[in-house]
Amino acid sequence: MKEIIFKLIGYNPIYIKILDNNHNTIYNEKIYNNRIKLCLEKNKAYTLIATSNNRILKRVFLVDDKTNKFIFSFYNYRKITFLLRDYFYNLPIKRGKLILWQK
Amino acid sequence: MAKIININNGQGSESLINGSYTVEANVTGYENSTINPNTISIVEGSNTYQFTISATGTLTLHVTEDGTSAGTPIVGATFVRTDSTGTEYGSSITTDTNGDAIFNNVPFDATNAPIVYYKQTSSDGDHEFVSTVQQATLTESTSTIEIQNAPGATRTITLTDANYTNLPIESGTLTLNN
Repeated sequence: MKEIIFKLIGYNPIYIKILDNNHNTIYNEKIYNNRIKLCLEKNKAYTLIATSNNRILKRVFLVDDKTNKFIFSFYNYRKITFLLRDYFYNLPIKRGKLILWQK
Repeated sequence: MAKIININNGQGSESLINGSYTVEANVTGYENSTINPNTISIVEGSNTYQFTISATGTLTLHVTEDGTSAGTPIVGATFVRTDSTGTEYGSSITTDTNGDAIFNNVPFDATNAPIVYYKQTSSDGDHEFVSTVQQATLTESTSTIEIQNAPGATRTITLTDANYTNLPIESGTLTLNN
C-alpha cells in the first residue's frame, strides 16, 4: 500500500486522476482530505494529474519497494531575493532581518 | 506563519510562494517602522524585491584648523558617506560657516550601532585634509566628531632663468592651480 499526500493551501477538494504507463486510468476520484492510499505495482511509472483551487499538478512518479509515501505540493515555491538599502544614502544594509507575514 | 529573511550586505533570499505579505524589519540602528514598502505581493515572473529603510541619527563633522571645538572653522570642506572600501553613497555634504558638515538620517544604537563610514573629499583650498575612509559609531542620536584641517605648510618656490644657471628672476608671479 502506497500513500499519496498532497500539500496545498486551505482545505479545498482535490480531483485526482492516476494513469498507469499504458494510459489506463486506475484512479479517478474527488477527495476532501489531502491523502489517499492505493495499491500500486512496484517498478512502474504512473502519471498523476491533480487539480485543486484552480491549480493543476501533473507529475510522473516511479513506484519502488522502498518508497511508501509520495508527497506532491501545489505550492509554487521559488527563491526570492530581497534587497534592502538605506533610503537616504542608498547604502546596502550590512546586517538585519526582514520578517514577512503571509496575509 | 512568518518567514524571516536574513539580510547581509544589502540582500537576502528565501523560498516563498506567490501571495501577499506584510513586511516588518529588524535592523539595528534604523527606524524599523520606516521599512518601505511594508506590504508586497510576490507574483509570478518577479524574483527580486527592493526595500528601503531609514535612520534618524545625526552625525556632525566639525572641521577646524586645530581639530578642537573652539578652533577656527573651515568653511567649504566636503564629506561623503562611503562603505568600508571607499565607494561613495549619497550626496556630498559641505561645511557651513561654523565648520559643520551635518549628516542626517544616520543609524545609531546604544549598544550595537552599525559602523558609519565617511571620507573627506576636499578642504577650502588652504588647508590640508585626510582623504582616507574614516569610521564612527553613534551610540546616541546625535554625535559630533572634531576634525583637523591644518593650514598648508609654507613652501619655498624658486624661479631661475633657464639659460643662465642659478640666475634668480628678479620679480614676477607664479600661479598654481590645484
